[in-house]
Amino acid sequence: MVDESSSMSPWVGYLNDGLRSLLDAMHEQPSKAAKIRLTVLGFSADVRCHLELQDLRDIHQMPMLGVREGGTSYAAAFSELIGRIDADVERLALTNLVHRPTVFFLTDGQPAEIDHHVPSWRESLSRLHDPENRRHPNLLAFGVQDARPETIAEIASRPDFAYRQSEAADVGQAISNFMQFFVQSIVASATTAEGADSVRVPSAAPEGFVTIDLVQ
Amino acid sequence: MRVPSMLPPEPVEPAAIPDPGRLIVGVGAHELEPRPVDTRRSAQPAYRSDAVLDGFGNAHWTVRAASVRGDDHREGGIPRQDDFALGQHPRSGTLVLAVADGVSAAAESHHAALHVTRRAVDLLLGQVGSRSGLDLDKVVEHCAYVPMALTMQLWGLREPDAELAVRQLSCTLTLVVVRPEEGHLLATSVTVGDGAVGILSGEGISMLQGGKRGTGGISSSAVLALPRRPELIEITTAAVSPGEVLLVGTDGIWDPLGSGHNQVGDMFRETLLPGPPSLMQFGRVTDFSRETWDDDRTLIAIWPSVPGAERRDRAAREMPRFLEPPPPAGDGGSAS
Repeated sequence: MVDESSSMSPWVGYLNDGLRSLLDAMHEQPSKAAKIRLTVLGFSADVRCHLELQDLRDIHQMPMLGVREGGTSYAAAFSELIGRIDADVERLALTNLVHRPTVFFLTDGQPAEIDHHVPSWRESLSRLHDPENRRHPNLLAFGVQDARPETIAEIASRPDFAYRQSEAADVGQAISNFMQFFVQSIVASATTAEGADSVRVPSAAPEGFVTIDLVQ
Repeated sequence: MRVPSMLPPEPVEPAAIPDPGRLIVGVGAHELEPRPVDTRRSAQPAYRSDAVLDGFGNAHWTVRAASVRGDDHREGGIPRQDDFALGQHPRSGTLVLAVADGVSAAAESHHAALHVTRRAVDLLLGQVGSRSGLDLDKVVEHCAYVPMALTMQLWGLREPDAELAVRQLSCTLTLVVVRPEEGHLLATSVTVGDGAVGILSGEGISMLQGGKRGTGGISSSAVLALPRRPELIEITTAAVSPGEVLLVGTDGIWDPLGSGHNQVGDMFRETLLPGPPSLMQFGRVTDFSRETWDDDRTLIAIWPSVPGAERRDRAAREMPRFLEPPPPAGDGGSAS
């Protein structure tokens, strides 16, 4: 789930490059690709679906992310996730063993102050985090530019799943590294899943990011 | 002196014995040559085979067992972390067995799986022959100590290290004792972790023990494993009748098999319900190829003997015979 608000314009090329490298990695490792289904969503005032529950072995080109006017509606993003995850798990579980879904969320801004969505982004987020919601996803949140650390920490489903851009980092390079981290996580998670989590992320934050420790 | 010919050797005709290859269920996995086990990863490298087969029978039952490395471990040069052990108590004709699955994240868990299963079978055989009888709780308790003791053996420690045992040597354990009764078998089982026991019949699979639990369509991959033990151990006993097959396996088997209402279940019914296959065929059944299912697999199947039934002619049923080519004409061959 990627921020496609207009402020992301300088960086969207890095995201598209990263999606291409993910496709290459999956084509090189078809046994791992067989275990992954990928949905690519972009949000601004609303959400656009660029790729839907896709087996990456079946495609030879990734969709192109873009930018558009309209702000940064976290409410639209989170309510879309709730609906999609429910439907996707339902569908996949008919013929597969389904592990907990994982969302990689990247934004460069704060949620729109005037958000006409009902429920609000916090209400939708709490549903995504609710352990009583049996399909609650792992939520990894990455913030660059104007995204505030405390907001990113609120979005992540675990404290170590919250990453903010480090102060000296180049935004483009950081986003490029985020995509590498994304690819590595998908490849690692596609090995035999065992343990409490269904997602395996590299132990170090992508270069240009730091994990958020609000205690300090 | 003869000068070696620089000409390439004449091509040799391949032997006309077909290799049946892996049994493919639905869409097969990506084919690969297994990598040797990377011993540099292990604290105490030891030979570990890709697969193990065993099987035998008596007047009451026939057992087949196979443990195979999953495709993910074959691709990564990681040892088979599953293991099993079997034993028969000769006087009573009781079969005892143990199945273990080393936790993936625990790098030395294959050592634990190996030693825990052997220790379990020794203990079970001792109990079956004793006056005090079966005490599965006690067997689990003893087996839980095996990973602890292994920390001393593998790392040269003077005292067992519980934290190290959990981190490096965790494994699940399933124990089954199969006693012959009048007209059927009685299977008593217990499991720690996500191994499971079930009965295969024409109707499907009836689960007796264990298996992965999940909610809302999401599979839970969290697993309790030795040296940790559950607070309460659930022991179940069930009858297995002729025409049914008792199945004991690790999650590498049960995850793709599920309730049996799928292609893997169809394949199991077709290959196992008619009666015990040969060892090699049982190995192929266990090592079936199906995409995304790449965990280590261990399967043990037990068939109650059918009174009065004769064994099938397996050789005629399963494999094409390799026939001696007929002698060339005029070779003096005579008809007898």
